Amino acid sequence: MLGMIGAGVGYYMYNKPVASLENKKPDVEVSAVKLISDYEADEKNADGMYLGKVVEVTGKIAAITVEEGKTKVQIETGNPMSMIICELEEGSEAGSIKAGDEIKIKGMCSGYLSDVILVQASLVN
Amino acid sequence: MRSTVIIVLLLSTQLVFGQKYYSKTGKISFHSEASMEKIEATNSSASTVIDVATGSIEWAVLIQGFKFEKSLMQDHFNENYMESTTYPKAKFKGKIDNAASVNFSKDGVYNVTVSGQLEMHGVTKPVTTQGTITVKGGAISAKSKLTVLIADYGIEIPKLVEDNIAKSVDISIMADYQLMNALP
Repeated sequence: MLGMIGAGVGYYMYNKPVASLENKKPDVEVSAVKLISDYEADEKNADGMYLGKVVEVTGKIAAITVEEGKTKVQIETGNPMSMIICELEEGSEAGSIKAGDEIKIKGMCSGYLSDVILVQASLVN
Repeated sequence: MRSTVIIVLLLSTQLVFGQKYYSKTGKISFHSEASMEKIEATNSSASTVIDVATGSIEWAVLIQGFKFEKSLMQDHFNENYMESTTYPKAKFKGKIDNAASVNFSKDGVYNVTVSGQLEMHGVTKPVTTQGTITVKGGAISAKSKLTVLIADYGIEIPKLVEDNIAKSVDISIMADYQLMNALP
């Protein structure tokens, strides 16, 4: 009996999908402008602060794109070539947001490639 | 007259700086099949630039942006195999070997060979692969596939899960490029 429960738990752990971040508290809160300037000043240092962490970003939406069912929200930083790009989590509601809106959005920071990219992002109410 | 001079200057600057095309939505997927498990992941925010004047191609992708279906696989990938906190990116820097046979101003599907250096998990190795570059209505897109041996990049698979992880990984790459403005 115990073996079956063990096997069941094992099966569940092995196959469980990537957890949603929607209800996770952010590890750090930062403005879009500061986030990009931290990365531009010292990438390695910024990775230490943000990489792999749940980051809540405040800023103004530059654009929203949808490609192959995936929504990406671009947050302005003052530099149009270097923005905060947030890939919305599957199942996350984009609601009625539009370019120009001031929003809070959180996601896992996956690093910096001229833009800072947050994955598994969701809007914060 | 002044506007003509400005236009000529802008055009010649474009020529002087070459013609660079870029994408921030490059798609990289990888697939690895072992006796027990099929491992797949995709990243659709890779960054890539093609310089049509020189034939050079560059790619960069964030390891923590690869999406797996299963949580445990994504964790193992990042923590144990790629060590993505230490090596957050994979990069490719290379060129189209037969760039002379590609006419970037003429619609068509061009078969290309691309060679360069692939840096992954802190290890850099030369790679060569085939691909296609499609030019259509002024737009450029590229597609390629390559297979890498994970051991080549210092990626260690613990004996315990050896059967679950294949020794080689098939990588698919594609991007739709847009022209980069030479002037800000």
